[in-house]
Amino acid sequence: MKRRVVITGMGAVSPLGPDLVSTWAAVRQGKSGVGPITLFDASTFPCRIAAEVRDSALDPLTGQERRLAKYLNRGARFGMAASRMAMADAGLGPGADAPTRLGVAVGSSGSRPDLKSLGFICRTLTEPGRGPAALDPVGFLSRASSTGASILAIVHNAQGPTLNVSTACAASAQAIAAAFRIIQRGDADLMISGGFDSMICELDVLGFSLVGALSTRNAEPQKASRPFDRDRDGFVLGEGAAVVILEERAHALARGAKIHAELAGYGTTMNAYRMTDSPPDGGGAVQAMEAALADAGVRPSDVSYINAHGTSTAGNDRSETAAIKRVFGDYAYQVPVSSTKSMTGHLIAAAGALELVFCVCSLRDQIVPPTINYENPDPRCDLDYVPLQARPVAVGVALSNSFAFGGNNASLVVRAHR
Amino acid sequence: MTRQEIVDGVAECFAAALGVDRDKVALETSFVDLDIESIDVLDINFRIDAKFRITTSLRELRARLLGDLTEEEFFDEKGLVTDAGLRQLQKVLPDFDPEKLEGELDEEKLFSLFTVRHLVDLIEEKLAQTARRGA
Repeated sequence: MKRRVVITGMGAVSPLGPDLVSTWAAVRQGKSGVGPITLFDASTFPCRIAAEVRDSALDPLTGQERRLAKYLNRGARFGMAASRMAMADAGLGPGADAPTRLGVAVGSSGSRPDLKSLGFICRTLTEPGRGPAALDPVGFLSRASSTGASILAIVHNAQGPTLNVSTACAASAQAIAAAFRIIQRGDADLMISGGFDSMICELDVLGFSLVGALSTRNAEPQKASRPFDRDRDGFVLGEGAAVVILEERAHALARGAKIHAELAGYGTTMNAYRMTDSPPDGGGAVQAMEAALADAGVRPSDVSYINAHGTSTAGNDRSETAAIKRVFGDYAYQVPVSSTKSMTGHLIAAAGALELVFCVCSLRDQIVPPTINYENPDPRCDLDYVPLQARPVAVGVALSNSFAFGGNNASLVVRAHR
Repeated sequence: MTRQEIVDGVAECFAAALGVDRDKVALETSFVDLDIESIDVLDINFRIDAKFRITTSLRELRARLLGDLTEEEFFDEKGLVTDAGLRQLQKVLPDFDPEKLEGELDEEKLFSLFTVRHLVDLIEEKLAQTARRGA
């Protein structure tokens, strides 16, 4: 019989709050986490807004974590905090009951040097009598996308399968899926999984601006992320982390763990279409959702909530809407679909994990998050996007979509645990 | 720059690199006491360079331990420290007692014998050299 996988711990650090309780409370209230960029001087940038995590969200580190903190970039610091919360929520200590059966699978982007550091590197390399020997050996490691997973494994004494996924906006959904399969296959019983990211820095905000992806609604930051709305003009960068503890069901039952939900299905495809455009007909997102539903053994009409990728770009919102209609047929108009990116901004590599956590909270509280700022419908986006206010819904099965630049599609299905 | 200023500066570099309080770093604190791994030494040297404008390396520290002995005199063919090497270590490490060694002393363990003082001495010498050159 197939090994089943349940979620027994959750943690998050987001622009809406330093932990999951405050984040979810803000989502239920339809609050926006977007504001002017404070992490660097964005005054000359076309986009000067983002959904930043308040620094107070990061506890002062102690002991081993303080020592290892130098290897953690900003995003990985959030990941460390979220992983600590998730392990505590699951009632697990370092190594759990068997370190080699505990693994780590996370999605992250790595980080770029800020302009000040980049200037220092350039000057030092060419300064007589200085050169490479005068440069920071640790910065290289802290910027690498794989380092965070290693440090998480060290801190939690996870000696089982460990991997990092760097597929941009699909990264943490694919990481959670990898962890799901690792447990199903029997390679581990427990996985610390999710994602973390912070791309709110000069080079990345510049990059996303240059490819025309970011909203420039600088005068009204809290109105800027408006998925499926006619007047949207791009996405808003967010940052943060979400971590779940995935556990083989019998293992969780045997230790009397609190089970939040069952991770039931996964599907992934690649559009192999264009670099940044979404296929107008929905493309591979259709098969990704279909595969996830089939994997979970549920029919489309069993789905009571869809957390959309919903970036607030015309391309994504229309393509995703078309894909949902192709998968769900007439039922597409009955199932609530919302984009929590309207509130959190786009956490890139951490987005899929945070949104899966929101799906689990929806199952638990029987309430679905709103799409805030959905005020003037895009005529080509005509589903029920749960405008402005959270809504009580009997949620038994929820679907979370994550689609990436480059064409990666990943869909996850969670259902109430029975 | 006074000796005390150098000691304080080097200790700050250790504390920052290792994420420990400044008072955990004393002159006689050894690398093994601080559980230092190889990249930490690189990191400490980077911070020392930034603070003192003095470039140091593990190789230079190692050379101080070897003194006038050649590689072949200091290490045997298995890479373990020879008797001549142990006598040399006693000269440069006043607290070093070969009797208390657990197991054989190889290159990696050698590195754990360094103390903060070795780095302070090295920086002090290099600063003096730089000052002489400048004068």
